[in-house]
Amino acid sequence: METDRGANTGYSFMATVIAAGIIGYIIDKYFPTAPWGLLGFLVIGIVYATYKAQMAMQETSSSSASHSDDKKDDKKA
Amino acid sequence: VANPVEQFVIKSLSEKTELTFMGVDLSYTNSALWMTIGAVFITVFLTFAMKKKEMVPGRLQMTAELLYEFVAKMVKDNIGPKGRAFFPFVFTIFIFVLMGNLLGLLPGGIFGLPKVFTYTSHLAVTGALALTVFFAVIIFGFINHGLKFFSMFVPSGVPWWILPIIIPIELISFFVRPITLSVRLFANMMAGHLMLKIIMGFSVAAAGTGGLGVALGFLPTIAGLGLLMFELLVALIQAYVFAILSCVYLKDAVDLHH
Repeated sequence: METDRGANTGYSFMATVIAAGIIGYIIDKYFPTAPWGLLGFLVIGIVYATYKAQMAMQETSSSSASHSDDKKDDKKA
Repeated sequence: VANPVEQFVIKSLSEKTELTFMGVDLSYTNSALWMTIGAVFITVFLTFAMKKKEMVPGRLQMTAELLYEFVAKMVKDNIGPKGRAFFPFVFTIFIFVLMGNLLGLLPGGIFGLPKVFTYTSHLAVTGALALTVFFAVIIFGFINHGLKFFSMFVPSGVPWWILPIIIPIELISFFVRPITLSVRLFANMMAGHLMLKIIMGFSVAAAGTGGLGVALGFLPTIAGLGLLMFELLVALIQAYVFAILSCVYLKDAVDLHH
């Protein structure tokens, strides 16, 4: 199941955006920056989550290619 | 109509003997009973199925081997060759969650059968499981990598001037893992069972009105039957998702290249 390897990507995307949102919310609570702290951090979170998903996808596709090589070896053996 | 939330009520089965330890109620509840049933059932099943190890496996041995290979492949694909040490842990979690999800779908409370209880529909149970995974990741991460484990929060290939923003985000998304892991399972199981009970309850309520109600009362049951199939799927998928995310998190404890 090669799709397994990307299983966490979606969840980590969501978690990253929410984590950034929490930071922004806390900043807005203690500094008079509302609503820009939350909005700014949400944008940062989405950008960073997209970057992370992109990196994870590249890693997944490259490692699943090597994984299929393993399978060929299995067949030989 | 039967109360749809009644199925989630925790009842003490040892009311006569009060069991308390340092002010904590340790009564044997229906939740604990079904956890015991699940654990005993799978132990007996796997022991019995693998008793006669035949070259050409029978039905029971086939099922046991299927379960083993399913989880073994999952661990191998997601953690890597070093992950074999975690196989018993992941297998136990997978089977425990699967048993909880599936045993809760058994028909109960009719024809004098005891009422079934879905222990995975309680945040206390799934939370304990998720925290076990969470602390396993932290403990094995520090055992395997020492203080280098902290480099997990520093993503590679990111300019240094963004790091003050990125590191808190990484930290928080690490610490919400047990929350998302436990809430995903508990919410899925609770919502599914609740919906099943409510839709099926419509049939009983309609039949109770008599006349046209009796004639049309079977319609919600048909919908409920479809939902039961769907719930069976959700039970399997959620156990799988829980196990696979445990694998993904445990991978961080095994190797650290990010």
